[in-house]
Amino acid sequence: MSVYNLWDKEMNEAKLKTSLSSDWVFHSPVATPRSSSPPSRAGETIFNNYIDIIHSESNLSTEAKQTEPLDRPFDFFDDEEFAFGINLLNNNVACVGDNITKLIQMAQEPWPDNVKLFQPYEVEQILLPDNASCLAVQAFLKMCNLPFEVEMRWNAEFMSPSGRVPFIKCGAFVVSELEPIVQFAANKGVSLCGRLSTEEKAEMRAYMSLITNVLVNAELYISWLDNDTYNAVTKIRNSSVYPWPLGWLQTRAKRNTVAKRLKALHWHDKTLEQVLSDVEQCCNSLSQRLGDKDYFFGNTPTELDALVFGHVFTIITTRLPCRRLAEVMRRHEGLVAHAKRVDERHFKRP
Amino acid sequence: MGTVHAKADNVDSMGGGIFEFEEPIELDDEPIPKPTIKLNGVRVEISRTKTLEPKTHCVFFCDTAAIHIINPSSRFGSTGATMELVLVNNAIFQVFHFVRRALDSMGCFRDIGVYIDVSSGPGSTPEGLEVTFQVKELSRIVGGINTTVSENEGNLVLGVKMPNVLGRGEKLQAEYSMGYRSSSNFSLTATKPYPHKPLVPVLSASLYQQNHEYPWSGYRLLDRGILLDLAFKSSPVTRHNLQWEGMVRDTSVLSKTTSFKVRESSGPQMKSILRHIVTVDHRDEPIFPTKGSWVQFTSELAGLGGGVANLKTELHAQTNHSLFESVVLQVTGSLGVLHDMFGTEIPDHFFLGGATTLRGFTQRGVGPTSDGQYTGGTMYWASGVHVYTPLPFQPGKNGLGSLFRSHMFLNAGCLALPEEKGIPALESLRAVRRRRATGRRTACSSASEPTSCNILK
Amino acid sequence: MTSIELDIWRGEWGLASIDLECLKVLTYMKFIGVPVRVRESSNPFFTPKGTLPVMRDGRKLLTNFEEVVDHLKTLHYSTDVHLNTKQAAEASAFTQYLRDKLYPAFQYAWWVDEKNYGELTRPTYAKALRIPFNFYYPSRYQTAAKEMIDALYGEHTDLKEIEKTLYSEAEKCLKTLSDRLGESEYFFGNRPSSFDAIVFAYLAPLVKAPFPNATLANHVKGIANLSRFVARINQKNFRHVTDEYNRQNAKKQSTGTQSEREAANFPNQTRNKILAALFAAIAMTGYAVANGMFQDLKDFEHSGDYNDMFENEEDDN
Repeated sequence: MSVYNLWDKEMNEAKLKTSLSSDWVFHSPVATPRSSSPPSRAGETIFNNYIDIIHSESNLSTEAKQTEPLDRPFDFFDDEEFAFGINLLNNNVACVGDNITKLIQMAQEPWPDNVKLFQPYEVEQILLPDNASCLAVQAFLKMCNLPFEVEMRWNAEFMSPSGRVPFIKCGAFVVSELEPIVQFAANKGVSLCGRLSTEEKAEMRAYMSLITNVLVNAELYISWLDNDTYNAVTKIRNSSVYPWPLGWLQTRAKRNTVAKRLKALHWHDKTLEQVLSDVEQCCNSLSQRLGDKDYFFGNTPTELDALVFGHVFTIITTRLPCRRLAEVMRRHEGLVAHAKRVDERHFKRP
Repeated sequence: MGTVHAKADNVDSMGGGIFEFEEPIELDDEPIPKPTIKLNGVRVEISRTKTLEPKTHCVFFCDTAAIHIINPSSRFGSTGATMELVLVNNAIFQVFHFVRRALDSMGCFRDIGVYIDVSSGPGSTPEGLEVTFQVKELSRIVGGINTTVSENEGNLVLGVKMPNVLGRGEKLQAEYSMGYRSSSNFSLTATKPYPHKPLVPVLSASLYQQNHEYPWSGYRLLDRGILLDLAFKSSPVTRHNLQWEGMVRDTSVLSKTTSFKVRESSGPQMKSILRHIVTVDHRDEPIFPTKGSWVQFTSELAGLGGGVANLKTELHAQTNHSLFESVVLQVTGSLGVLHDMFGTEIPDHFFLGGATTLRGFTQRGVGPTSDGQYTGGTMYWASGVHVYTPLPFQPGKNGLGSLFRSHMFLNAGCLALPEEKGIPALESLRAVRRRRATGRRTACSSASEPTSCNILK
Repeated sequence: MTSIELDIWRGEWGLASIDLECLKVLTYMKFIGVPVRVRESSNPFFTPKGTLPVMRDGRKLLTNFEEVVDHLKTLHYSTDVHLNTKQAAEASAFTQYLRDKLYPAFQYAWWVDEKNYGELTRPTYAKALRIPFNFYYPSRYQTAAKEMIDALYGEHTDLKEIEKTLYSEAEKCLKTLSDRLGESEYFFGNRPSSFDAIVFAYLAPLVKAPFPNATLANHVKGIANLSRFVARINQKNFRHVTDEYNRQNAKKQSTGTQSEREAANFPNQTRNKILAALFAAIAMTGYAVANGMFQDLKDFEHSGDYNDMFENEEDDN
């Protein structure tokens, strides 16, 4: 059934494209009055409306120019005009409010001062993969010179719209994980990769995928499936914020989730050797790309640098019973030097 | 005060004992001490007993005269017991009524019949009455499907019950309810009554899982837990419940547009609660009472283990008065205070509004909000004046129509969260008063719909 | 070197194989030009890991693309010798990129989308497999794909929302690929590499298969240089497959009626019908025997007709 509905919907959207702005004008007042319907339903309608906008692209750009006479064009993040709209469809973004036009304006307002980054407790709770991604986001924001405050919460993971840390709260928006945050910042006119050519951007994305696919999975594997690390570190840290039987339950449930994820990605059956050889290969690729440059793309950092820094720095500084991951990483001096460089230039400044 | 004398007996022991008869009773046994039944001050002695069918277990709880009859060989037939009672004064009819009620409240029997005859046969006393309690026992497993309407949606409830598992009124009950939209609940309850002990305690233990969505507050709740309950009566109208509840509560964000404040309180938490509920019920009927009052006082202490600690007190009261014939005026009031020690989150809060708490307001629609979502409070009061009348022209007067009433009401209430603003409790009471005005206005506007039908099950 | 054998899923719609992994290996081997005997076994049941492709070289058994590439490298067959270290790094990064962004969408389009699964994927695989297996494997693959989507995007999220996210990510990925490819013939210079084989294996099924719900396929078809890339590799390496398919198609269109086409799709229709009838008859008789019906009937001496009838039927069996 749902498939048929979807089919119909697409047909409708195809029509929408041709009928242009009249539909948009028609749609907006539908969402604005808060009727007795509960908020979540109102949210649904908003997002459905978003889909309409995104599918009638030309429509939105004219509309945006009318409502907002700023000369800021829409293409902050390479040539994607609708990063914001796509972003909102994404699970990583949540927002409060129901007026689309207002939200779009809000998304484009400059970076406010009261942005907060939420993450788990660094000392007793956070785990290797989470720590790496939190550090990556922090590095990115510092590289962009965007002010933010770190706030630690025991339930950061559950507060996040995507269920993964870290996330930032910026005005009415809540955005989680690096890539959506990068896009979100791009909407506000802040970008690190503006000067890159399209080929370089393509390359950058590929390398970021390499890290999320290999390093993140390897970190998850070591933390949750390697028995020594699981028993000595992961179990204790993950259950540290819960009272007794709940901690055990939560840790077990999370281990199952992680195992399921790794199974789906065909990582579950790998041996530690295979995992480490994958990491080795990934590091090789990264050091080859880095060469002896300061950053991956010339003299200024990009989000790839932030991501690499987050993972490399975390892996080499975290003490685990399984030291082989850190050893593999340390062998790549270029990457270690890169991590130190980023640490000194962006984190140790007064 | 009546005393019953008996001449022949076949009962082995006395008072509070349990007597079992494996075979038809030999009436010509040696006379042995007579069992005594104390019923509301009425003393009755059993002269002799016999069961109607062979191989029937007959169990007497002599203190309360709850006669509990089981028949393992033929569960679905009717069984019964005959006693010969010797009547001194007319108190015997109180006895019958009492026994009947006691049998009924066991929940194991249906078609309870009492047959009274003049005692006859060998060894009968001249004034003796032969009383037979004839009951039909429920089958070993009873199943049922029904539908209910809760605050959020309609539910389909599937239930399986095993009344009288071990032959002492032990009950095992499993229930699964499935909501039309999202909620799904499961519970498994074991109950053990002690009808012959003082204070009539009932012990029960349940395991449950509840899954609820609260779109008005933007969160979804998944509760899993254990509830141990000891209910007893300190007087015929005063009922106490002592409970311990241990649960794991998983709060998750319902949608992308959920307010950040609600988001902050998500995540799994464990809670251990000690609770005492005392209910005094002087009403004549629990549904559509016409006179009498009812008070319930709940005190709750959470925090012996688990990650949530708070103190919660609630008082509900209700009084009913018949104005004219079948026009009932009901005045209700309730109060609640929650004191947070640590870890108290939005799902712990009080919520006010909606058909079950403050009719006429939208669901949870009273009290503080955050971005359009109701976040509840730690203090509340609510009151209401209700007038119940039969339907106009009284269609189906003694049938279905008697299940319906016209209901007019005027509700007012207030819910506050004084901690948040950092103002002392007294100050917040003033806030309470101010809020009352707005509350009453809303109430009036919704009560101005002339009447609303109150449909009961 | 004729000792290399390769078992794969059979082809369809002018593709050499309907399966992504098989197509990768096959394309790679075509690039190298290593002599290989291809067998369309289309049955993963008897393979060592329960998956296809399986490559046999003497006593060596290889079951996935990476192993095949490594093994062929030891035999000094490789397409990647012309890549410098930086390019090799880039190729591995892009491989992961496809795996990260395109693979979930690919799997979604093939297996999770109900319309595609019911009208395209399931019939195709059922046709390729033999009788007891076709009840098992398609649903198994579907479950695996669904689990992957669940693991990546969470179980509680709306499937429609996941679909939108997946396809928008995939679209972005395809655009990135297209940018990377530009107007050159292959991704790294003008000689094919293993990465080209991978890209081809992802894109060719999307271009060729007639998806009922073709959102992802349309994204691919909408990007000119990628469609040209697919057509080019297809033309150079799989011309015989495409020609064969076109010839059959043409033949069918010129002479075939609806029923003939059906007959072509299900060549053993008549045989299957007979088998089914026979099966039903045996089952019913067996049931009757098990219940002792014959004994009872045989006791009726006077009803000789009945006896005759059943004896006849027993003769048939």
